[in-house]
Amino acid sequence: MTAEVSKIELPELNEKSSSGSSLIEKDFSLIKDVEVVLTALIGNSKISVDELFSLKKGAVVSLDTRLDESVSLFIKDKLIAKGTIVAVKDSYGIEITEVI
Amino acid sequence: MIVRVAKHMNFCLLPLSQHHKDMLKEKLLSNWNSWYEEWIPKNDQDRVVNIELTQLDNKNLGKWFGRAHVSWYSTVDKGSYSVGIAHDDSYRKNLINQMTGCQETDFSQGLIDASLLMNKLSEVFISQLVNTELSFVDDKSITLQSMQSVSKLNANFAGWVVEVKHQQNSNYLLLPNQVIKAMLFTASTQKANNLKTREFAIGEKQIPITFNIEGLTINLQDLRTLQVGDVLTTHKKSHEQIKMRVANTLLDDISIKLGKKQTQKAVQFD
Repeated sequence: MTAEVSKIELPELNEKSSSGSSLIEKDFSLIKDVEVVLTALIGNSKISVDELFSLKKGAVVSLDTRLDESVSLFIKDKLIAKGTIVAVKDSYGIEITEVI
Repeated sequence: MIVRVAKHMNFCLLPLSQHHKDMLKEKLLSNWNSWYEEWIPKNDQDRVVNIELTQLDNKNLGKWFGRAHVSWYSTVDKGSYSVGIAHDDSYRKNLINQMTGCQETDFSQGLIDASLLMNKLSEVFISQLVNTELSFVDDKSITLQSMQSVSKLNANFAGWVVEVKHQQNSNYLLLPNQVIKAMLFTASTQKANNLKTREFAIGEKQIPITFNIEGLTINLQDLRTLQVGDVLTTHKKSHEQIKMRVANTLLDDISIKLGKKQTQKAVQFD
């Protein structure tokens, strides 16, 4: 199949003063189902490279967070809430204790 | 970069006497840093020329590489030559940076990263030297057509010198001779020791590790109305939810159990 191909020249677009109603209504329902991923920081630690490479099954690492300390919930690097770790059937869940 | 045989120099062939070879070997295998000072006669300082020593192993070109800053002086009227070896940071840095573009590694012992530099330098030198006619002051000449020629040349001569011009700088290269092998042996041994030291230092370095519950999701509607008492979770099993990050790098496929150790949260590798 052959088709005639020709070059196009794009027209210059001049900004006009915006008027009339919005093209897209501010309708949150359009994006309400968009999912975002959260991360709950349980705790940090520091170990040496030697210790890291000698970690084996059964090894225990203490974290820098107390048992009663809440976990922080992040969207990317932004802290959005705090909570406590709970069990939900076979999974861990985070029960919100504070919204930032 | 231009590689040119230094045929206009007063010396091209390395005419080391057996006595000098033995002395050089002995000194190189001992402490060649301190030896430099004592071995260069003061009254010959005006004849000192800096050259670069490079060793290419005959059988396995590219495997061996070593270098030193050499002060070469001749007493032609007495019919003898000698060579001294030292290392000089600025000279080394200049040559390596300009000719290879390599990042400087650890030269504290006057050594180089053999694999890094050999790959670069052998490409540069050999490609430039192939089909280059080398002329020596004693009217001998040879054309390097292959690396095998280098070996043959090496078998017949103690060594030879070429001038390497890069930008406005000249360096002089002395290619294989048996004496330099001794230096390389020393260098490789010291290099190995350095590596050992470095590995030890890295092993002690403290690095951050982080443990998260990852994979929690929430839609924007729920996020908008998020309130105290809400519970977020996933469909994953608990041991799949906890993730370890080493210096921000996710280490997947490690099963981790959450627990406690005295009053602190703790994790156990399952």
